[in-house]
Amino acid sequence: MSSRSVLILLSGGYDSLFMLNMSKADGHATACLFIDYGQQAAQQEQQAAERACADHGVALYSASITLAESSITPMNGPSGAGPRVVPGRNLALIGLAVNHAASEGYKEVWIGATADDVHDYADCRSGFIMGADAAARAYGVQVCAPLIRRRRSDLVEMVKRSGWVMSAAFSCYSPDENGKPCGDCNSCAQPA
Amino acid sequence: MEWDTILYCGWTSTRRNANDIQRRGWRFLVSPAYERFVAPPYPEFPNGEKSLYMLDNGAWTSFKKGLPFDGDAFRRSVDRWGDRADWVILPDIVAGGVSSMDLSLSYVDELRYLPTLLPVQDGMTPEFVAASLPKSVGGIFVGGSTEWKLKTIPTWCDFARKRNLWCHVGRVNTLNRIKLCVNSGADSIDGTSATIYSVKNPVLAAGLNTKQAQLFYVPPRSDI
Repeated sequence: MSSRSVLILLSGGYDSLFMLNMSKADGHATACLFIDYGQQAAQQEQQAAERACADHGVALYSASITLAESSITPMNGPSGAGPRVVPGRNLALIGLAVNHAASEGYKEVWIGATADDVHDYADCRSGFIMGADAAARAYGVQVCAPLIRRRRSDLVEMVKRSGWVMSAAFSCYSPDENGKPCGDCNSCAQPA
Repeated sequence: MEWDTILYCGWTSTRRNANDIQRRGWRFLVSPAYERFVAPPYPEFPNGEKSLYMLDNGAWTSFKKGLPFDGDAFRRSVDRWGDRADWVILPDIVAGGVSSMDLSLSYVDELRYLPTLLPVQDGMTPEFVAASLPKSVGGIFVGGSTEWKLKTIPTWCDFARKRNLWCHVGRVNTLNRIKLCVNSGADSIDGTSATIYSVKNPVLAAGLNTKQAQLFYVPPRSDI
């Protein structure tokens, strides 16, 4: 058992579920936080997060926030490829996670930014994470992005080797009316 | 957790080589010397897909030309490419030994919100580096003479692993050296021969691909 304690921002998607497996495999004290920020797939994502946490026997905290409606609207539009940028989303998510971590006794917040995100999402770049980390240290919490140099294909390869079960993951920005992945969006286009 | 070693290749605008690098999932090493050659702003593959890359400091190029380190060119490159770089290599003095560290450390504050690697080279020891390594530095760049590098790669990889730091080994251009880096647990390496001598690509690629296919035995890395 390591001496590290980690609160994972768990969307229920592939990358965050990978972090959950990684943290448990490394023996860290682990809990997760799911945040409903008005995303179209919130219900499916929360169910995926609940399944994953139950499978791993870890605590799941839940929270909801309200972002500017106009920042969420594009995510509710027609599905299709291309980045869905919600300005300041990760800033809000990290801030809420730091609040939970500092209050519940977790020393690290993990966010699932990967190398595939760097060109499209400013809040998934190293400089952004380092800035958030510098701010969070005022509360005794570190902000880490342990996958930030790795591509989704690296994660898939690691899952094959480790035998981790990722079937609980739900990764789609715009599920259809039956709650099924659209198959078109950037998230669906990633290997899994 | 044992990740695959990431390979960076010197920037190339040769379509065939760039396509090959993309197909293999490798990344680019750009430096101030490429300032005029990389267009548009961020390095791209011929099909328009933006590549992943790290930013070298340009000290090696200046050294080969017999020129002093060009801090202005480095800063221009940081302004242009730093925000999306996997890593930015702090400036160093080629063959400068331990005095190189002073130059590197003088840039740390300026680059504190970028992911930086500290170059280590002949004469430096883990104890020496540990004593002055700033918290904002994310890892080490193993440079120096080939002889020194070959002797110390496992030591530096171990040093980095124990501190949860990244370990990158610079200028690795033969299969045996790639094997040494991979087996030592280097997180990433760079080489130029893959782009300059494209005929070597299949050989170098075989070194990495077969690593994943059990040709090389890679001992498990301890928890970090």
